[in-house]
Amino acid sequence: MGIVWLASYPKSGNTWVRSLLTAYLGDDAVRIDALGHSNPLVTRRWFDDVVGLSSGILRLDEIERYRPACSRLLADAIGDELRFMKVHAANVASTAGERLFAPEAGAAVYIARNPLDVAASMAPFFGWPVERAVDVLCDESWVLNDAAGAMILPDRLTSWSGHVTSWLDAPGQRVHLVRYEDLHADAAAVLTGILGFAGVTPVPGEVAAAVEATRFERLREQEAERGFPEHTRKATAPFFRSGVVGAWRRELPPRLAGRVVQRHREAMVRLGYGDLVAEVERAGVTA
Amino acid sequence: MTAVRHVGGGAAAGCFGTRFGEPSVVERDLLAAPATRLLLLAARPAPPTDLASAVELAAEEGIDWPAFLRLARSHRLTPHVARSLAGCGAVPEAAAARLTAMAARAAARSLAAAAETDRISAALAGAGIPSLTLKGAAVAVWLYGGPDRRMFVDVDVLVPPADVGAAIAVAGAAGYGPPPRLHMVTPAQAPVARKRFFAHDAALFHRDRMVKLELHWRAFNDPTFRALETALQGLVRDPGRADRSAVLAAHVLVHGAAHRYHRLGWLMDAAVLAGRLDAGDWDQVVRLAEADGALNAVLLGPYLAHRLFGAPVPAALEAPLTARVGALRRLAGLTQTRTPDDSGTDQPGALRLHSMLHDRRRDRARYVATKLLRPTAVDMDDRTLRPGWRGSLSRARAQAPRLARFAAGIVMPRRRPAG
Repeated sequence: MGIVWLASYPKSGNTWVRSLLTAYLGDDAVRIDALGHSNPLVTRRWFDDVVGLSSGILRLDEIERYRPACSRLLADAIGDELRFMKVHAANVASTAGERLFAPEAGAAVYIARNPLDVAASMAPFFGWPVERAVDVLCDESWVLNDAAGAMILPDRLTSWSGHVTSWLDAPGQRVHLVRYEDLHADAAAVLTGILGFAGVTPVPGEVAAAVEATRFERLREQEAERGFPEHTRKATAPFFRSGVVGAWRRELPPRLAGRVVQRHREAMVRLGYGDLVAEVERAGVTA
Repeated sequence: MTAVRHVGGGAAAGCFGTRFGEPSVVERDLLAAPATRLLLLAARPAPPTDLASAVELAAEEGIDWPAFLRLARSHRLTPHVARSLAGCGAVPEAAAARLTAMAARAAARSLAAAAETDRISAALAGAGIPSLTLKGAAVAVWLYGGPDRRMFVDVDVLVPPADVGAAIAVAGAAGYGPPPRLHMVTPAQAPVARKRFFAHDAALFHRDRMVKLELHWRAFNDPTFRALETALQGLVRDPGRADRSAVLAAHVLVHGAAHRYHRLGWLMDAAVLAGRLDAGDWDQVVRLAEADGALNAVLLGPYLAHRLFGAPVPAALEAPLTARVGALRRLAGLTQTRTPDDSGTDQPGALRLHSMLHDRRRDRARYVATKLLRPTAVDMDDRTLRPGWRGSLSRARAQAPRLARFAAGIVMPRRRPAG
């Protein structure tokens, strides 16, 4: 099978999916500080070695021009071995017209979450006011990891809608869509679907055990004990914060919820969040 | 024999030296073009015995022969390619004839420049000014056996810094005047040009013979290569010094690196050096480079020559090359691509990549500071070449726009997508 990208906008359930897969495919108990395979594509050192240039002197568009070739080389190196790899970058086209993740390099599991909840979750994760989180969700030019000298390459995320369509509409890209809300409702069914997509025959008992091992409370306990390396320093809440669906009703002012819906209506309806669109629009508050 | 591997369009498409790792993405892109692959095979000092089959394969891939010949000329490799492909039946008749004509013209021009080099050297000697021929004419004779065997067009002569004014006067008497679009530095202005500008030579031009003469008071604009400059001035005074080969080799390698080997002709010099110098010479080259903190700059040529031309890796360079392979791989990438696209000479990115040639931080800082604070040869005129505070003011005015562009380059975030 080779590479399966676990692609998502931040705070959309990527870590939970990786925990489930690690619990199912791994030999040991799940540890949140060792979730599956790291993705070398995002590190400067790997990029610099493989491309043969110092990414530190390149603009983002120049880095992106080399990313399709990088994804193909990584796929060649991995061969047929199944590897799930976390990705936050949008699968946009480079200035050369190629998608950053070449379709022949790997299939993708796209993990989506209602953007209202994403905004509510992103704010404490980055230590932002919730207004800033909504701004970012609507910003087509948002770049993650844009700090000079960072060990991780900058990732262009675009807006929430742009991110969704960049993956779901990428020409030739095999994509399996997963919703955070469905994970909440029936994690076993979602995990079974992902495994089937990746060519792994699911064993029901082991799927149930994986779901049990990665219950939210267990992951949160681990974070409290050992911390979580992917958490940001500016965060104002734990990474595993509330783990609920619909927290936006409590944390997002109606004006901001209206703005999110107004901006992302089309993609929300496409992903099955039409009821939330209707709920916000019924409230009658617009940006 | 070090390992070389075929990459790109299949067997015999291009031999690539893999002693220091698989080809990078940048190298793969470079080797994707049939014309480039054939050029790298045909130009090398010892072309492969199956060159004819590589030519046939390139023809099958639809090589654009006029573009191939233009590529060879722009990289100053016409004589090398002409020698390798002479009599090769796989080259179309028209392309072969054109190549022969281009090689003949290049040889005539090189011979004319070599004769002019001899004339100027003799005139300088007659005036009691010692000199050392650098680059074109000297390298052609030293590494290739004759001036007609390597393309060059300029005359480059190094003189003692104190003699530059007198040397300009000698050149003027020999028929040299101001070059197009550049100011003629007079003997009286020479000390200011030497000390206050980011420049290392006075450019002069012979209108009748169409020859450019560069009278060097230093070998490089970059003022950080002190040990190498001192050694070269030693050769000016005593051309028979025992370390002559090592010093000239270090100059060839640092010069190519300073120009990012954007002409493969310079890299060919490095390839020939790799097979020519003995272990003792290479040890001296390494010592000289270490003294100047310029090992990256010196090793880049042998590294690239191995990768692109399959040149042997000198035993004396194995250890330092292996220890620096990561940095050299990144420097190599910068020689093989136009990225970063906006690397004008005043851009922060361009400055940074040039400074990467230096091993020591203080040399990087010194290079950057000198580059930023001193005007260049294009700013030379009667006002900027004045001594005293008036000249300082004029030079500061000339440099101000460049500093402003540099500051703008810092303010403009480099990671934002263009457009």
